[in-house]
Amino acid sequence: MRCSSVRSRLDRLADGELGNRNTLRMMLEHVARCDDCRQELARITALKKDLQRSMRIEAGPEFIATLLGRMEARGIRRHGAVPEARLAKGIAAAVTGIAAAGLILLSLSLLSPGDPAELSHLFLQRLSSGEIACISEGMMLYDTVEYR
Amino acid sequence: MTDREIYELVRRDRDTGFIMLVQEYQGMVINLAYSYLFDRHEAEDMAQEVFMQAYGALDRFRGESRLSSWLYRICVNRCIDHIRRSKRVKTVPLELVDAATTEGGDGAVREAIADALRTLPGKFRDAVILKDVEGKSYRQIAAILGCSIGTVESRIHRGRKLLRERLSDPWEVDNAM
Ligand SMILES: [Zn+2]
Repeated sequence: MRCSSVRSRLDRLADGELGNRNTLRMMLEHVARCDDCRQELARITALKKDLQRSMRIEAGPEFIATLLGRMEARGIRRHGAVPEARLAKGIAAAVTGIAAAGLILLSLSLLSPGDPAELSHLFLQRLSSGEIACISEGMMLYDTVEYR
Repeated sequence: MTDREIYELVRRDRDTGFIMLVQEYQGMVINLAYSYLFDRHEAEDMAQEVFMQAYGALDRFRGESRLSSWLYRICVNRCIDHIRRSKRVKTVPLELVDAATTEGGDGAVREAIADALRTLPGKFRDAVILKDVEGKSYRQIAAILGCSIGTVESRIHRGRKLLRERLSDPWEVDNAM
């Protein structure tokens, strides 16, 4: 592979977007022995890392609560239009189906049956990431999967 | 949650669907806003305005386009408008010392990157931010920006090239290997 064709694909390599295995192999071989291309790749990677580190911010924990409060204050949304309990129930009802399918599929594909530690870790991860919104619904799922 | 699921939820229960939409896209909207405003509080405020506008327009959103690209357009238009207005009013310069203590990463690097990003044409900046800050795939970025994957690739390539040209040499050498 020539430097020019490697250079034109370095961004894709750094982004993990090289779909073709053969191209990927040839690119890696070239980069391993060509100093110029390797340095160019390192510069792209360094820029990516710095962008990620300095430009990424997370929403504050009160983001949604503040948003809903503002909407009520401006009359965009009725006060208490979504009481906490109804909200949790509504979200749970909508999400449980998806979470259930996802969790069961994941368990089937990733976990050996009867590996509760792994399963519990996965469950907690999904719960904390908001993928399972309602604990009781989630526990039911957890039981179903664990003891299937 | 997929756009279709959120859209279906909005149709059944507007408020619950809206909250799911916010949960799904708050990161993308805040980070996009931050790449225009470079101030955490302003970015959060802007994101709130974006979602409020989206809430008001939910009935008109028919699900033909993606939620991500719809929110992207609202966000970028509002940011550009905000910058235009604040230029007219003459802004207080960014308080970088304060920012360095309250926002993650190295203050000096962020300052340099922010300066470089400010001079970058929006279409390059957005593609680079969606890739490098938000970690979206080329396919997802193409859907958000409404262009082909090839266009995404070339915008990212040119955007990074321009960024590196505009960043000082010592920074680049320090980070090269
Ligand atoms: Zn080479």
